[in-house]
Amino acid sequence: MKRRGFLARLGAAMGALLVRGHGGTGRAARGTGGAPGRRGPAAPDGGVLLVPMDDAQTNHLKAYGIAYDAVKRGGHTEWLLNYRGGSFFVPDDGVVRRAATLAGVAVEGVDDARVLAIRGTVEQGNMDAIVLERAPRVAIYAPPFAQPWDDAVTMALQYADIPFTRVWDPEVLGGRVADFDWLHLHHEDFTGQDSKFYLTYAGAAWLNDMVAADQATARALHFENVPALKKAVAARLRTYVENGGFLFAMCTATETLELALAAHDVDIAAAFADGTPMDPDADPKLDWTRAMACRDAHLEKNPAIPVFSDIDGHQVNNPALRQPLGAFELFNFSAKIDPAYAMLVQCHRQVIPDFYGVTTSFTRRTLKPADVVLAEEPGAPWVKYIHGDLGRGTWTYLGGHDPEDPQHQIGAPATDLSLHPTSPGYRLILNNVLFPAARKRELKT
Amino acid sequence: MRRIASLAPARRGPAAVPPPPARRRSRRRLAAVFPALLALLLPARAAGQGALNQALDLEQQGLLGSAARFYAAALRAEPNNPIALLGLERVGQQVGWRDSAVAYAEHAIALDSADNTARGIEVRGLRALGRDSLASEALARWLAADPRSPMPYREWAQLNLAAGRVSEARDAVTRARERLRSATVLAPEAARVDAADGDWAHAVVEWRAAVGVEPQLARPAAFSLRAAPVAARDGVLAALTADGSGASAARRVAADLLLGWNEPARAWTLFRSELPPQGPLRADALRSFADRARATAGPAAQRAAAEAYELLAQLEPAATAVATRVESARAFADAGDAAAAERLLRPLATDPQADSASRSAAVGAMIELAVRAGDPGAAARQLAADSALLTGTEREALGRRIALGWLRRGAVDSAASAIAGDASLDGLEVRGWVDLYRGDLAGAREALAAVGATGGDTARAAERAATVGLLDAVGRDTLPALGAALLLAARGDTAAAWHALVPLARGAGGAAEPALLGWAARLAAASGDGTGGEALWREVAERFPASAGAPAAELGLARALARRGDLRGAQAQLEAMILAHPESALVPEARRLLDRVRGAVP
Repeated sequence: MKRRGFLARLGAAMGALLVRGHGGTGRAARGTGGAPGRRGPAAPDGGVLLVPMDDAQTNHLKAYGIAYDAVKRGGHTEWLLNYRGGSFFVPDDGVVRRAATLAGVAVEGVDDARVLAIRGTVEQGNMDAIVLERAPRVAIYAPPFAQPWDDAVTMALQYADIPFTRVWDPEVLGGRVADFDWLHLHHEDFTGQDSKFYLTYAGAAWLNDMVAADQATARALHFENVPALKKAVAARLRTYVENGGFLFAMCTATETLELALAAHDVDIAAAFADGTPMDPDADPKLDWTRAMACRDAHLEKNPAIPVFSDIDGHQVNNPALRQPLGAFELFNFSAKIDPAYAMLVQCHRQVIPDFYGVTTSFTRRTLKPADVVLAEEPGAPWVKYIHGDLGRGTWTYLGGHDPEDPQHQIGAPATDLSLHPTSPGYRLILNNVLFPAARKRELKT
Repeated sequence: MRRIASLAPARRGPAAVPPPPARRRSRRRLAAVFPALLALLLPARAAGQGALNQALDLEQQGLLGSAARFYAAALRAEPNNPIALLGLERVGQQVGWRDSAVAYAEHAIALDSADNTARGIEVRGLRALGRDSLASEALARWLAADPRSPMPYREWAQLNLAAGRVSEARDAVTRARERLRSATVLAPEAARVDAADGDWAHAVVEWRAAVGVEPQLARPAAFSLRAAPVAARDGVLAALTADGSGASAARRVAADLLLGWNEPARAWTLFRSELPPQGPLRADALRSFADRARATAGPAAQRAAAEAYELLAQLEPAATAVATRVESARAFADAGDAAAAERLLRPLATDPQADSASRSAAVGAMIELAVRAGDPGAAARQLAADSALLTGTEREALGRRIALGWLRRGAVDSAASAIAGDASLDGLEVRGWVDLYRGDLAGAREALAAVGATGGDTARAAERAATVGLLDAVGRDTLPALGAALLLAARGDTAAAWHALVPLARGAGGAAEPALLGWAARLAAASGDGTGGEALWREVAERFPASAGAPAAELGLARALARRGDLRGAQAQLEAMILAHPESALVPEARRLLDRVRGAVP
């Protein structure tokens, strides 16, 4: 069966190549020339370029932008899972070559024979070729005011030149997120306590502004207080996933979204946020059937400790419980059997240094049985990267704040990704962006 | 390509780790067999010692698996050898053999119930393996075997602190104090528990008690208390500087903290008042403080370091005191106090009783400081006067410094005199600059090219390479006007230099014109004349698009556009440059700037 399938595909591929009649260059290049009206060699349109994603690649992050743009322009683009670090086939045209040259992305011209050889390799190994057919519409849940910390996803998308739209509470509650295939949440605190920074950063202008803006939004949308607003937003985000959306969250957004969902009918916010103290008996009242990823977590009752619960294994802001950073290891999934999971872990490194966030990791004890662990720290009681299905959509959580700034501090300068163009941690983020581009049947059936 | 029928449960693919190379395999086999052979061939104790030495070597080489096997072999010969026990614990935790260390520790305990090293390893190992109840039982056995020892409690407290289990660590401290009937035992652990709880008031009390008994705990105390938040610092300092027993050691901790909290002047005042009266402790304390202050930026820290070194030099034997005084003088100079630097160095340099090494060190430092102060003449006179004290290599090195000082003053002939007879590679470089500023372009090119574009200071190497490129483009053997223009730049007058270069470029023609215009543009930008620089870059980019300097000109033009806020123009310019010159060495720099003007990076 496999052999027959392979031959059928081989024949189809050869037929397609004959119809196109392209002539690949067969030489490796770092995107050569191609600007209309500019000096430089003309690009041979109609063939295929390989964008290698192993150590031959000079800018992994921008390579995702090249692939995204190729998909967006309707070009036939494939993601070669587990082949040379998760490489791409993109159309060989002037636009791609120009973009690759400008971005410093290594591309290799591949002739017909090489394309067939690559397909043969993919067929015979723990690899697969996934067609990317629709550029996802990307939204980032971010406030309209500046925050004193960077957002890894915003930075990755800007660096890779992948377009996105910012949405905030009014858009989420108004149902506008349904217009997007992929939604990212970063440092937001869905318990409505502004990350419990009220004591540590009391008086800081940025915190005052943030609290005032959140309260104004809550009032404008007729919520009693910010925690109530955020619970409603969390519920809409869950609905977004159930209806087929792809949700990707990092840092605090992961843990607090789970808590906000589970605490639908319980007061888990401290008095400084909603005027009443947390329900002292909140833990047993949490309804974990509403949560997407977690269960049976215990809340941090002390309002002065900027920690939310024991979902996070590292407890970076609790000196008594803070755990040191190690390294996490990506699981090696079968590309043919588990392509969805394999997409999320495509990387040129299997082991990646860990990085802190207000939520850094997810304790194994608090994970639901159906969660898929994508990366873990071997031997540790926590995992780093998890994924799961809900309704017709999926959620993916990556702990930590900034993969290239392991101890990002409030007020610290944003990471300059041009200094980290091959960052394996940032690749995980960009894998998620392309994830919804895969042919729906391949992901969802 | 394929279509997916279903999403099966998560599973791992085939093992990603390749089999070890044959050489490594054979080494592993040998490592496994060798301890056994040793045991057969040698008497037990000798075999144990041999295996232990082998284990230590292997561990140092990073061959941890093999090292673990040899440590195990050593323990089979000598079960209570503490070095082997600790070695097996150390490497075992890195290669996943924690349980082996526990087994060997338990065997050692069975042979000698008072082996506290083995007891500690047993408890730590069981905890690390997640066998908490077994670890508690091991601790109980240890306590029963040695009921008057604080060690089991200390081990337990430290383990729990490391695991973030603060309340259990506190329980260990409390139990130790009750059972051993001492309110001060385990004070460092109690202090760390308090610090972990954010209770700095109690933490400092415990640390004060601890350093009062054991002054060598001052560094750990300072390290622990340094994390105190700003709001708690005054309280910490007040507790440490209060009168009472152990006040002196506690105040030294306070001084250490002040230094860490960037209050070096206050730190030095406090530290000096609490120095141990005499002996090696006083010298050690001074050395430690001075080194840390010297590594701290800012004139106040440098002055504190200078004064500490000066005091330290008074305690040291003459041979080492000279180097300390020289360091003190340098620190004074960095603090902006040239007079104090000279006060220290001059007596050394002029003391006829001092040995030659001391005098040469002092003379060298004085010459360096004179050059740094912009007085190469004084430096040259000092060098001439004390030349006999210096070795040939020292004289040449100082001569080069003086020559560079003269060049910064525009005195080319004096610079040439300062390096006369210096045949070193560094001397050749200085000679190259002298030739350049004299207009001897052929000589300059030969010298600078001979030194090469690598080695030494990166910025200087880049400057050499760029200058050789310019001279190649100019293609003349002599051009005094160019030397004079570049000397203006070397003296810091970049505005005059670029204005002098432009007419020179216009008259040069050929490849020299774009090269000189590009150089002028660089100097114009450095002088703050953005408009002049931009015009020159644009001229090179548009009139000489195929010249060697075109990529630099296009990049320079893009920079100028970005600087004046024309980001769209800068982006177009950068894209054009990258596409037109994809192989240029400047492309990575252009890409970074492109990212910045596009807003893709901060």
